[in-house]
Amino acid sequence: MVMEGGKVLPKDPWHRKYYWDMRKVVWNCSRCSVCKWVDSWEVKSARFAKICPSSLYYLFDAYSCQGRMDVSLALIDGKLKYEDSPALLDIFYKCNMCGGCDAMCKRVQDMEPLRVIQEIRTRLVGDGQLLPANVPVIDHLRQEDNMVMTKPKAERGKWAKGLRVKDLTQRKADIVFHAGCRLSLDEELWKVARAAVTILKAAGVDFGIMGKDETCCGGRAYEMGYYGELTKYAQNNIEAWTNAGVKTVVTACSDGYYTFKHLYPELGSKFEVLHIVEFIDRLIKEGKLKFTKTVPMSVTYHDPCHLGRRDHVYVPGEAIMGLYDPPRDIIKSIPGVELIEMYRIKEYAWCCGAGGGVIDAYPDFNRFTAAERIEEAKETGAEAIVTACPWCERNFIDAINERGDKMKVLDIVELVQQAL
Amino acid sequence: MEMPFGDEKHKLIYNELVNVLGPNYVSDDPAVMETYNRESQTPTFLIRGKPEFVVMPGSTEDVQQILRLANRYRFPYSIVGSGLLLAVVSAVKPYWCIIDTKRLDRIIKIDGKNMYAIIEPHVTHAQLQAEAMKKGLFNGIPEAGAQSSSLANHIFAGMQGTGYRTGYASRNVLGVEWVLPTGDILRTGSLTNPSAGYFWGEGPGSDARGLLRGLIGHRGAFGIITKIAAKLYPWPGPAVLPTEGVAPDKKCELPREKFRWYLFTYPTLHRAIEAIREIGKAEIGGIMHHWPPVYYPWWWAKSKEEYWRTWTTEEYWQRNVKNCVAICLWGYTSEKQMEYEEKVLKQIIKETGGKLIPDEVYQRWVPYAANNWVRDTNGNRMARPAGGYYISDMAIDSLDDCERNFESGWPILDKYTPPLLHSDHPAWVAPYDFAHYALAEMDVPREKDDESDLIAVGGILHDVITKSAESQLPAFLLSTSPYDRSGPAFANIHLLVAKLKKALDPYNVANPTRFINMERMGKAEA
Amino acid sequence: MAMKEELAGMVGAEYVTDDRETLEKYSRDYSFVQPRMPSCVAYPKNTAEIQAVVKYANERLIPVTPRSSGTSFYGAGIPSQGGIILDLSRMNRILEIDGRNKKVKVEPGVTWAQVEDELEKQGLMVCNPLLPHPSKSVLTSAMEREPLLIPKSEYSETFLTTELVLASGDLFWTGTAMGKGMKGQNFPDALIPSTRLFLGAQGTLGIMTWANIKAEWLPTRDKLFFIPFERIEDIAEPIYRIQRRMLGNECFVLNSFNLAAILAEKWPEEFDSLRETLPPWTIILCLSGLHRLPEEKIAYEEEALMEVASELHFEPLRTVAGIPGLDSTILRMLRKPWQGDSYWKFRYQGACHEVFFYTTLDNVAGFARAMNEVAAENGYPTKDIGVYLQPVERARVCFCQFGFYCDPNDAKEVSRVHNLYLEASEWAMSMGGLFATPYGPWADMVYSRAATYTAVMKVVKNAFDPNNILNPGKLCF
Repeated sequence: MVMEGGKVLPKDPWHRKYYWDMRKVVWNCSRCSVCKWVDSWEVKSARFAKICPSSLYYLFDAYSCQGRMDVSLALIDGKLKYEDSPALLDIFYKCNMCGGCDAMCKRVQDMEPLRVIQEIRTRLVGDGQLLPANVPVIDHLRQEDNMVMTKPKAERGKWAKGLRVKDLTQRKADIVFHAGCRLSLDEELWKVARAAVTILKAAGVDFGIMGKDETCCGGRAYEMGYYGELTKYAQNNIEAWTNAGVKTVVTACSDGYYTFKHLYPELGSKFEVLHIVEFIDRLIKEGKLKFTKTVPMSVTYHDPCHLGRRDHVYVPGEAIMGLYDPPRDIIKSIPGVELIEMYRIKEYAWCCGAGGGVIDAYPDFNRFTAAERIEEAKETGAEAIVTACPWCERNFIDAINERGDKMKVLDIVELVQQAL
Repeated sequence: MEMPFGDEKHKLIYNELVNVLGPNYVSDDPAVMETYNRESQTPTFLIRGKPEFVVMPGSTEDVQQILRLANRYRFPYSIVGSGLLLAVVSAVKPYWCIIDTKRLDRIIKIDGKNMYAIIEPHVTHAQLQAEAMKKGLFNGIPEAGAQSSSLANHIFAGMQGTGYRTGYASRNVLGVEWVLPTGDILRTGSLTNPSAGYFWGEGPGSDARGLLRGLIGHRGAFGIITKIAAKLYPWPGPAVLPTEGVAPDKKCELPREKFRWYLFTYPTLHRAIEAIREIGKAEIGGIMHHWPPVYYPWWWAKSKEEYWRTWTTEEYWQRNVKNCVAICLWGYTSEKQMEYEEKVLKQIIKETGGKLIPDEVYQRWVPYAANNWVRDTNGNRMARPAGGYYISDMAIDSLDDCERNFESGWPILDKYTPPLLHSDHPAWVAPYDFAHYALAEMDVPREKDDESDLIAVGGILHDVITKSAESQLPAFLLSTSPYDRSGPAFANIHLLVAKLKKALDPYNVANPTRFINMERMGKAEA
Repeated sequence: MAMKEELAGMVGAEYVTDDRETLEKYSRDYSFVQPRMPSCVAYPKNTAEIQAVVKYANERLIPVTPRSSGTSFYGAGIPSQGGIILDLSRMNRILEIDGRNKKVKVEPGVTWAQVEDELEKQGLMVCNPLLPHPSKSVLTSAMEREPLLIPKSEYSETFLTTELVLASGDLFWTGTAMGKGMKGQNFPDALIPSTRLFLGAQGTLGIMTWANIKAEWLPTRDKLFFIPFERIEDIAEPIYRIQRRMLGNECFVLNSFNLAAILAEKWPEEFDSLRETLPPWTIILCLSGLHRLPEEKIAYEEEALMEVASELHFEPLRTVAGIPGLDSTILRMLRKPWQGDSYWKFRYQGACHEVFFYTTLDNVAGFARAMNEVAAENGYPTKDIGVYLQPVERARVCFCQFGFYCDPNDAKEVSRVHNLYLEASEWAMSMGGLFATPYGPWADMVYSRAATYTAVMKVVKNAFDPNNILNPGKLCF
């Protein structure tokens, strides 16, 4: 018995002050189902009330955070063996790792359920339990150093052709602009990377790129359970940037941003990490970037998971603050642009669908999730959906094209560029 | 208890379920089964039976087909909404099939003029309220939380935060569509007239809603409700609930011209209850409760540390909100109505010797937690302090009974603290219908571990049920205990219920053992 | 031993009768339900006597029909299969008046005439229907879910808990009345079955020996308004708005016929004159204040009422048809049973047959037109239809009552009105009206449309009364 001032306290110190312990986390899941739904206070529409794409698509509770807690407990306690369940790998991999469940759970409990899912994935890979659909993706990564299936590494630097940007494999600079796999290799999205570079140039900062020698951040692979790939690419990138004298990493990819900022430090990274929206926001607020054109457009803003709620170091009780405001501040400061919010935003935003390996492993689920977001965006009446992550943009473009919708998809840097 | 997965009967049932629903909506995967067997109230040592099947019907006809299969092949089933209280529907026998309602998720209609909504089982309170508010209406939301199933809650419990005006959930059910255990469809109230629709719930004649639930519902033992019409009430507030902040640091402040919270304390619980009585007599206010100090940090604290620090180390809540009546005045009619109600309230506070809580306490708590009772009550936060909680001895009757209930309930809590955690004699009083009667409930945090579970079930539950039976208090825990156990103390009600159960569920496949344990009764009779 | 002697041994010789004249009185009522003679009438004084009679009857399969009211309108009290009438009028005690917990406990023989006067002494009231017959049982009114003049949700579902004698002679309780340890015993939902199962049951599942019923505090100030309308189509929206803003206490609608029937003192001249001069439709709305600052409450409600009136262009008046003191007159009647010599419903022709059901307020006009059509087709003058509309629970639904009148001694008239009554009922049902209390011929109309409900009710009946002795032939039993 633990007492304080004559009052009975929990015996387990974990209850008096939270710390990470996987079994305690899964054990204490109370099946309240908050992980499946948008924060109750924020539900504005019955149609768009769920937060968890896999719970909505696959229905069975196994495909919700709560279900994954239950299965994790069974695995930890040895009540379930890998070979017992044909569905086991699907249960853990049919998940975008968007963190919606995690954010909602923290609203009501001190828990880190997303970390459970991540560690189980790492454990599965470590134990040789590989999701067959992930194998070619990782093989491709190992061969071509990128996460865009079908694209060879030789094409990585092509997006920057004609831009006359410092090559950091040869020279040094304070800032490295990391384009990321998707922006580098998805030709339709090159304009975003190019726009980012234009803005950095206009700001007069000392920056460069790795060009064709740029590699994946390793973050997606890590989320798929491949810790080894993360460490490999982290070491590679850290070394390359160090050699280039870099102090600050700027990227327009939210996945990369999250990886550099939250995963690299424990692997030795000491770089400052900024997403391009932070950079632009700073420039605007310092008066270094001025808009000279009006952009008459109604837009809605989609919070990328890795820029939003996942850009957060968990301290129980603290707000799950991600970069919600800088992109909004930017949009609101562009003359002529009207921002109309969707029902689900900020820490309770709906995922685009691409994360966690889903884009390659479960394309139907991926498409469903993106289509849901576009439906929600259409309800605002906005002409364009604006976001700050190329994976989101690719997903939205594909969803819109598939359905023959008219909505435009813009990266925030494109919107900024239009106003310059 | 291990279930005999994979034998011939299992395969037969599985194949037939797939024939009805298709392979995407039937699962017997062991990992999937793991996810339907526990929640915060499920004791570890009790049967953590896993179901053998989980199915997802997409329509009432699908539900009928499943139940007909269950009757044909004699397999037990139960139905789950959000599963917050899975303990009352979890698998306890072989071949158990859990019917998960996720595909039955429509708000079929909200009649804004005549103030009702027709909903399916997997609509949450939050979803319904969000849509109702757009029409100037709202539904009362209970302690289970706004993420729980509204239909399930209406037919199970439903203390409703706004019960002072919206009543206990039982009285908010209008017509229902009810699939009986045999698969036949029973429609009640106005639905008995095929031309009428869902608008009213009475009868005709003897009212079948009297079989649906009492203090709590039959938990599926008399069949499965696939649709209800739920009453909605006038909402004088905005169409969208106003919020600020980022989780978990959120505020919800309703417009002051229409909503005003007052919290005032008394030297004793008795005097606080008398103030409630006086306010009920004056018929003012939209929400009114007496919450025990332990509840305040429960919904307000953003972390375990914050909870324990303010509750035990600082004793902040005991010092500031003991014997505290909380009332929110709602401006249904006009500004002058608000002025009137404020005047009357202040009169009552003065006459009864109440004292407003310090402004610092008010500002610390009210903007962050008070309006929970409109949208999100607190059930999902109750596990934060220690993983679990214990609902002791909840009963609804007159305000006089509330005090007595606490006085007899506290010694039991004291006896079992530890392992129950410090709760300082909780006394939640929630008046209904302008205080015609009131809920008396004592919720206590407890650690979610084996020792606590053992004592909770073997000790406290036993004591509370024994006390209830001896003093003849048909309280919550007694109501959840199977009637064959408690029936003899209550006019042998179990004999009547057994007749109904036998006729409606001849093969005893509808959530067997809950509500009434027919097998145990049969053995007792033999 | 003959039945009468046996019963005399249970209730006392002076409280049993089988004389023909008395039996004939109990064989019929004001409805069209076919009369049937009972064998005996017994007048028990307490629960134990009821138990003895019922046990006796059950052993011998003799039907028992309970009667609590001095007057029966709808056939529920007719012994459709003969047997024993159990007249509960001697059980007329008000057992408890509890203002603190807002309830009153009454025996079945307590009438409206008794209860309101008694409660008034303590500043209380029981929510009443429109001008009930003074000999009507309060318990029966609440049990049969009669609509209340005050449509506040917090007042609704007035019937709380009860003690019943089952067909076996055993006692049963509903709600927290089942809990001897409870002081209030006033919450209707404890175990299953809850109180609701026994409401609207017309005594077929058990005989109530007492009931707890909600009591309310009497207003200390009232201000009555009359809102006249030419067309019934114009009534719904004002009521919706008034109720949505939670305005007022009593709120109901009478057509000119019914209002005239209530007001007229000299018949037929005053009635005829009033019928012509009163507006076709009148909403009667009472603004009330309780104990604290009642005038201020009425003042803000009046202001809000005028806002609604201005929005919808209607005029709340203090009287209609220039009748002086109309508000005082109505106020005197509002919370009391009928006071006059002849019950207001019988004053016109001697007999009144009402078709009543629930619908939503926005559908009322359609039903009214249908009733007019049916009346016309049956050669019944539409101006002779008495209409009463009662919003329920802040206008969530509307109780509609259409009265058709005839001279009970004129066989041709009676036959015509009987046909009209049946046709009007069928028509209203086919339009979607809910006949929540299926009296007499409505039972077949209702239950033939609801096969599964009927089957479940029979299961219930079989559990509670396997020998079908309690008021057999009613509902679907």
